[in-house]
Amino acid sequence: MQEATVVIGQAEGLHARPAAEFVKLAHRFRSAVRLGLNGREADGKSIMAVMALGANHGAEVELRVEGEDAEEAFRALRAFLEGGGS
Amino acid sequence: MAGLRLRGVAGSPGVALGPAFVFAPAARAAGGGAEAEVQASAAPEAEVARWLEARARLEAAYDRLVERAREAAGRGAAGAAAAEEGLAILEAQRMMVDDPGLEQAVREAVAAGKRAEAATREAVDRYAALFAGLEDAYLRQRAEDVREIGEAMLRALAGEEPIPLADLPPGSILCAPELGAGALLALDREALAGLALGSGGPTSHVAILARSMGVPAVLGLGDFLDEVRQGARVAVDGEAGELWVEPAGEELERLARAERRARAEREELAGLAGQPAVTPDGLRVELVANIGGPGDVEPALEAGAEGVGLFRTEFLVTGRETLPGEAEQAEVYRRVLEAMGGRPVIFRTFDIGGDKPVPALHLPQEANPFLGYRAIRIGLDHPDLLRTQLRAVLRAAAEAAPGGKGGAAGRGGTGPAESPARIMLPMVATLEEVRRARRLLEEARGELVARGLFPEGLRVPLGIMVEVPAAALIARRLAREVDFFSIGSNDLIQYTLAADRTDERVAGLYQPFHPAVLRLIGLCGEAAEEAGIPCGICGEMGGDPRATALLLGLGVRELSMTAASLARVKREVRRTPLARARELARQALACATAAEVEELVRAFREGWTAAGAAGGADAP
Repeated sequence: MQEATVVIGQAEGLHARPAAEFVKLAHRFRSAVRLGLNGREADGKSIMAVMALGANHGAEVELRVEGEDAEEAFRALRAFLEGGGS
Repeated sequence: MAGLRLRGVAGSPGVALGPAFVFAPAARAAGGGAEAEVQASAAPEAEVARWLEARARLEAAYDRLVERAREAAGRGAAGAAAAEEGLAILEAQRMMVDDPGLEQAVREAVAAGKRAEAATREAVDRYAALFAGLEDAYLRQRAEDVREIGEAMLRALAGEEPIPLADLPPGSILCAPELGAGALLALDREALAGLALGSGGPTSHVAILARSMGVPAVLGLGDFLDEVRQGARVAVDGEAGELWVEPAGEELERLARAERRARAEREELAGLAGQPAVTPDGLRVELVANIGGPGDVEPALEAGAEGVGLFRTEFLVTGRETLPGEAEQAEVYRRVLEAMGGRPVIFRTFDIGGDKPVPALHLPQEANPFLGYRAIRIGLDHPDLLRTQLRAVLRAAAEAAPGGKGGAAGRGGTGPAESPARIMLPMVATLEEVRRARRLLEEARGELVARGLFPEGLRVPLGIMVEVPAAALIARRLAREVDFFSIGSNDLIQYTLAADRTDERVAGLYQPFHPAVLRLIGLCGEAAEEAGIPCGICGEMGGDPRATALLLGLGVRELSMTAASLARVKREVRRTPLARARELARQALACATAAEVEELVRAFREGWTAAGAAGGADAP
């Protein structure tokens, strides 16, 4: 399992379009993806859960990726959250 | 006797009179919950299968709607903007239907003995409550989307059409407790005269869509359907936010007059299509369009745009994980130039950062993105990115005009031929930024000339967007070093009044008619006139007919706007003598408050609504 605290670099936070992009990206991998914020946890492949997390720009979220392609998925998703490419 | 007046909220302007078409598919989330819940499910597997089958039908229904919206957006029909708006909403909803969290919640509830209906209701309520409790206003609104999906799912489970479509007789006023964005988009636009809904407010999806479709709407009418018979004569007054049931006497006459006026206006505007935008005293004003991609060119031309005053190029980079190269960009730019047939096209270099993230650039996080790293600041800091874009525009300019011929609306001067392509730098605050960007442009040109991709004699003007108050205040110095100004009024207002209009608590401070804003615009107009360069505007003020006379009076000579606003602004230009516009501007600059300016403008325009039909359009 790959795990890290990531600071949301997306200017508009993990809202609306970035959330949809994140979920689409997460779906490209087989691994399970989870995001945690303030004691709440969201399935990274669920648009509603990710949006409802309400992670604003600058929020510190826990990214956890587990599965066969965890390493690659973790790299891509982390870069996305930090505001970079995947 | 005078009919019944129901108060709601104004959703979309205009007045429409016609027979009520009451459309009330049984709301399922509220009713029928209790008895469904007590019916224990016999076979959980069968319930899950039933739910999955219903979801598949819902997915198919959404796919059809998405397809329809995509076609309308691609066609560039009259409702293209609405279709595009609708498309984004539908695609997000389509993703929600597929949400694995929703499925899991339903599976768990079914395993615990619930029927599929109760399980759906429970899952939807949970998500809706989650969204409704969020701080962010945009996300709070998503609760509306979740409920809409829940309703559709329950209909699918009941074996009904998941997204019921109203079969409207022509000229109908659709009266419904609520209407989802999808259902609205699926309506026959020709038959829909007006819209009256029990739910919704001015910022709900359905209001946004109704406005972009040009359909008068009153929302938030509550339980009004008790008062409306099928086929009753009703009137939607989208300005006052009122619905009249069986209006009679004077009230009916007033509403009918208002509707006729609205219809006459539509016809008058259509009649202006082939006419030039000239003031009665002979000033030629350039009316051009804002576009966000090649798909917007056709609707812009149809609406009579004489060029493109703002091509937002960011769509090439936002949300992308890799940046487009010179050739890919040049191809897009060339297509736009060619489609515009020699008319001027202003390419704004990437206006990114702030609310427009670019994953590929690894932009740092910021506490205050609108005062931070964005637009030209990023461009000058990533010279490769900016140079690539500049080369792409230059190449497109060279390819679109192989003979090096000047643009149709060539802006005076003999010298080298002028390309219809123009380059505009966003968010300029200092003269140094202009100088550095010009150096990059010269370098880019030099490289292309060396590669034989750009003719020596072709001139591509370089201008700036004036949206930072500092730039407006030094407009006179800037005017000596740039080829044109274009006022980005949205940001100029936001920065001048230090108010973010998307924050509803301070949105009231976002005042386009604030004398401070007008003074800054006036500085640009004056400086441009002195230097002999054109001054345009490409923010929302450019498309607001109430601002047209003021802008002309302040020295703005090119108005850029969404295609849908062109006809109205043209009418405004054609009935505004420049001399009177100057006088109006002079008075407005002396005002102390935005309210005073608005009152001045209202009085100035009042004569037209009365005399408009008499001769406004034919004024010499």
